[in-house]
Amino acid sequence: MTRAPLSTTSVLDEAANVVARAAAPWAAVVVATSLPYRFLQILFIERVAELGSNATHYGRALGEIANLAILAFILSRWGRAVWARACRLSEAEGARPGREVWRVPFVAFVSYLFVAALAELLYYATAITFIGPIFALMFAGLAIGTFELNTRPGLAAPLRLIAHYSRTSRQLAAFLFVFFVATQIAFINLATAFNAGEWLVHAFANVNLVRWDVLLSFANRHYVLLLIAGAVATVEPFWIAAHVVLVRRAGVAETGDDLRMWFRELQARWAR
Amino acid sequence: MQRHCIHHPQRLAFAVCMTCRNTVCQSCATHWDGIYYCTTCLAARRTASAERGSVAGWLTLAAGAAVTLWLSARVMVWAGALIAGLF
Repeated sequence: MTRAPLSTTSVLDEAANVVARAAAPWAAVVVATSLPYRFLQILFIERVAELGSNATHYGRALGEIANLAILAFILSRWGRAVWARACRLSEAEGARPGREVWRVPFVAFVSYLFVAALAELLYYATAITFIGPIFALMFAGLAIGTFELNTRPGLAAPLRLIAHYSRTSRQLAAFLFVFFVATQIAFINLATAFNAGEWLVHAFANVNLVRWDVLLSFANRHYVLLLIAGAVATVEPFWIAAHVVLVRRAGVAETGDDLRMWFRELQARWAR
Repeated sequence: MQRHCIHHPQRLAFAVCMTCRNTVCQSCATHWDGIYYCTTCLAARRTASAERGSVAGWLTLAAGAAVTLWLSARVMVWAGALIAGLF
């Protein structure tokens, strides 16, 4: 039996099928739980941008927003864990998952929270380097992909799992590129949708939209940040599903799926 | 590639136990929560679940997660102020 090489496109195809099966209603959980965190991130960026070089003098005020953002971060990671479990169950069973999705193993979630916080820490600590966030995003992807494989509490085990699956670095880098482009396309689509809505109201309802013209323009930083958050929220379920499928496919030999397929193939051959 | 069940050498392998990596036949493999386990490992897993892991493991993990989250908030402020100062 020759095992087919792991291709990025096949993983993305499978991820698209998984999302189509599990999206209703489970994608709503990941989107709804990530909104508070995204809004607080926007608030933080806006405050920092307003303060500019004086930001160092307002550490306490910024710290309060950062603390709230980290609380919202915990909620958003729980939503991601639920969605990742829905994706894995959907892929394993080939059907829409039921209520068992809510039963996220506690040890797996706390382990994931630890590595996700570590990824966030890496992201902020290396934000200025541009290359650092790329590795932080790859780390975060593997963290959600491997989260359900954590069965025992400990600090080393989730990191060992991530190190084990980092052999898929080629696919992870390809995902980064694909989802970077996808986020930009989602951004353009959202901006176009808002503009089309404004144009329709202007064309048919004869409403004075001068104020909305200002609000929905790219000169408005708040609007641009909201569009970015919306684009990220749109792409996020696909990104998580892709990493869950990638880890599943990479570990296919270890979990016995390839043997099972081989056994079915032999059975079919004997039946003929 | 001809692998056989570790408990029944006359039977062809059906799956690999995710914990011990041994090949097992269809009657020895249990599909639980989307993953295959052999009967021995499944029993061990159930016992481990009942014990809820070691106390030390839980304390380390909880402390590690709390410290990393706290540090993330601090580094978020530090990075924000640093980047704002540059532009």
